[in-house]
Amino acid sequence: MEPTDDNAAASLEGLILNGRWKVIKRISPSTGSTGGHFSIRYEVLDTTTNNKAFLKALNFKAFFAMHRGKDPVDVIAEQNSAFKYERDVLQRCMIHNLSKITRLLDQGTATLENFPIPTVPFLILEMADGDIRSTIDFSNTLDFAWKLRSLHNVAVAIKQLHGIGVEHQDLKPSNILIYENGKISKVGDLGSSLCSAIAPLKNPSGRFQGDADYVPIEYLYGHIEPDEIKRGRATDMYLFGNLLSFYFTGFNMTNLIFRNIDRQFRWNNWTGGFSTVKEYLLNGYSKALREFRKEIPNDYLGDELCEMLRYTCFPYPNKRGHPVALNENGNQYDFHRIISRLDLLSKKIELDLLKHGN
Amino acid sequence: MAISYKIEKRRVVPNWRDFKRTVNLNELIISGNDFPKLEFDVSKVAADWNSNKSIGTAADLINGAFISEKFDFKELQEATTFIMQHSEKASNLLLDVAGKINGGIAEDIVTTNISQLEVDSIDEFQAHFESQLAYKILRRTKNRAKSELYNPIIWVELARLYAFFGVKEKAEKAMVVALQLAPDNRYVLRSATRMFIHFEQHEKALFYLRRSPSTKVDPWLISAHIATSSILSRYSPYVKNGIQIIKGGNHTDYDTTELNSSLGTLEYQEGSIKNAKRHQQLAMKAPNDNSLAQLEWLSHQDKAFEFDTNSFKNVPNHFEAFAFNAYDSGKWKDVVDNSINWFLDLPYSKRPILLGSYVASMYLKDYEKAIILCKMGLKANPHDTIILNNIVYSLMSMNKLDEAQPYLDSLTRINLSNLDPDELVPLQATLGLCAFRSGNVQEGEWFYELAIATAQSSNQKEMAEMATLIFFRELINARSHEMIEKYLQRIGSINPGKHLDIKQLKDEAIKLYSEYKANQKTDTKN
Repeated sequence: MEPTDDNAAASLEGLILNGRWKVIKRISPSTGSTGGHFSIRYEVLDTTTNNKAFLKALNFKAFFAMHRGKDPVDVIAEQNSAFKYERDVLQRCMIHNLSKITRLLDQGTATLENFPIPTVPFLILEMADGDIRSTIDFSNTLDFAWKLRSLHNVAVAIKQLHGIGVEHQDLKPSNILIYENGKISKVGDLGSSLCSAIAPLKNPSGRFQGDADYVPIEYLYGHIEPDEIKRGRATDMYLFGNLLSFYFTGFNMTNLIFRNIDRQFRWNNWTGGFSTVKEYLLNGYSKALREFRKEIPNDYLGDELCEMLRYTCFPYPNKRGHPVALNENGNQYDFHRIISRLDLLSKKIELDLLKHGN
Repeated sequence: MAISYKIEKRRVVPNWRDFKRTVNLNELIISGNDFPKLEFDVSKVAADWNSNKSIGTAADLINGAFISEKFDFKELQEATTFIMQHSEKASNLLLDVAGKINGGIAEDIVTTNISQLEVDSIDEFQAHFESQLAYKILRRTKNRAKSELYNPIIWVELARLYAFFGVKEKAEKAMVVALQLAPDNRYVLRSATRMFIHFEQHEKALFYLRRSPSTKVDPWLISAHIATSSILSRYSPYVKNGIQIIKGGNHTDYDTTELNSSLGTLEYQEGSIKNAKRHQQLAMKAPNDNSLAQLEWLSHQDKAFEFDTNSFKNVPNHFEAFAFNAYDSGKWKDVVDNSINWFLDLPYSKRPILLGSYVASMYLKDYEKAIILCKMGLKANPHDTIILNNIVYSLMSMNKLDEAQPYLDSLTRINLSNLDPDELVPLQATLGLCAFRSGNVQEGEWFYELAIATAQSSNQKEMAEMATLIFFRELINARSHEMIEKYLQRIGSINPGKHLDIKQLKDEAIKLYSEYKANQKTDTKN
């Protein structure tokens, strides 16, 4: 999968793209990572402003390596379509001024002669300081206010996405990018997202599109919610809860549940499907919540976050969502209550810190 | 005299244990159609770790390893070492998991039985001896259930604790909540079946089983339905489904052990010994404690069924079968030991209490142990005539008249006309013992003779013999010379045959009589 010299996507250094973007150097995946291991990333310079930006070049070679034996025409068509989809979603976000989604600055196609595949489609995005993994720690003493503010930003991002008909489907620590020395968090990598307005048939099977390490628990047992919108929203809600759990314990909720169930109920040992295991997962989830709660010494914050984790990561997708929202038609997976709660919590913690400091 | 009763018709009613022990017995594994599994690739998070070593990427890597159960790659070892070296930045959870992975016991994280992670079971064991602790567990479970209104497992646990304390209505309410939350769950349905049968609400047990579509296809639930129907002398409509499941061969031997045992019992009751034997043989391919106890019971009913403890020593919780088997062999200590384990396994059940207290007091003369057992049993069954009888018998045998009084008061409030001879005979005999030990010999004689007459009139030969032998002992203790000589001939005419219990009582009576006679001679010489 590693790009080599015969790979156009790996040979962009020094070029000026779209007459504006000077490609400075290749960067490692985790620097401002937006996932996407089928792309090669560069640091670029906006020659008009001298601001740095981030370039994501489509790496066809990696796809060929991944899908050996598959018709190259099909692979190119598939990947072009995936790339086009990501570009269109980012443009949609840009048009709607989504403030908490990594912004698309430019896009285009570079053509490098003398390469087997000379065209390299690329996207240019705003450059992040890194993803939250480079900043976060899981001690009890770390600034909880920062974590709450970051989670608040993520919740706003999801609400913004849902507002324009996009479900992210791949929320995970490496996709939460930080800007302005950690003051702002934004959500990146929309490659796995779903948007029926752009690609109505993107995921006909309904299977999980994101990183399996952070998968909502029901997918591991083959459960697929039939209603597409409901499925997408319930998935995003669980993934948000997963992040919440990760922020405070270093463990996502799916793993916390697995810590609290017997081996025989784990996804890789169970053959009976979701309907026969769900009560045992629920029992593990209850214990997981208690474990999570123990990790937060501040009682008020602990109770509030535990409650948020409870309704965002409920193992049954149709019972996820704020308890009040469960009875609101079409509003079950709305993030507005999460946003206001996190806003309140972060302000309260900040105030407590100030008081304590004084 | 103390007594236990033998079940006339034993059915394969599901046993009801706490969730953790049920899980450990593998009774909840479902053999179903497999579903497509997700694929995991730890190389991505490993690459991220290699390019940026931080507590965040280390945690990310551990998440990837934990969910996929891939623990054997160098980056993971590096990341866990990093976490342990930067413990001030890690949560307790992360440190715990990192420590286990780093210590080479990664498998423990996913294989450890949950019972080993929690202290509930140990607490509960102690609770049998400490009432305060028992109430503490009940309170804790109640609070958990209230805060986990969605969790059927905790509601079943609460029902079980209420059943253990004999609080029937609350137990039933808690179980109904569990049934509403999980009407198709095997653990919930089997627990509910057992509880409703325990409370003699068989129709309710059948109602909830019938209501669940799972009962048509789940061998464990079909067996429960057959057993419950059989108690009501009905034929379960699920028998056909059960036969098809066994013929289909899509389930493990363990999954069908109770079903085969139930069908075998049904065949036996209908007179088809050949089919009954075939099902029992299938049931014994991978027996559980319940199907094993069923075979042990059948072996008493018909010689066609053989039960050999040596073949089943490895069956977990084999206590019921082994207790009854030890009884037949006259291994009294083994009976009591197995009864105690049986009770600890199923603490709401009174049968182990009856058997254990009966044998401990009648044959081991270990009255203290019998009293402890009865006290445990009275928690779940505070008004049970036989348990009350057995505790009074033990206390009076130790001449603890004052301690026996409250239990005796409870006994005397019982309307004797409602009792079966099985219960009435030992009760009359125990009242005789009380009279003897209180110095009212004539009243004692009257009660014992009444007990013997009651047993004889209801054709309870063994019980009449037992009462006679105990009566004889009391006559000797009371030096009731005329009556001793009157009953001596009767004692001599008792033929224990294969009954080792009667034999032991007779041997004791004869020995006591010899001592009595020897003492008499000494007294005369002096």
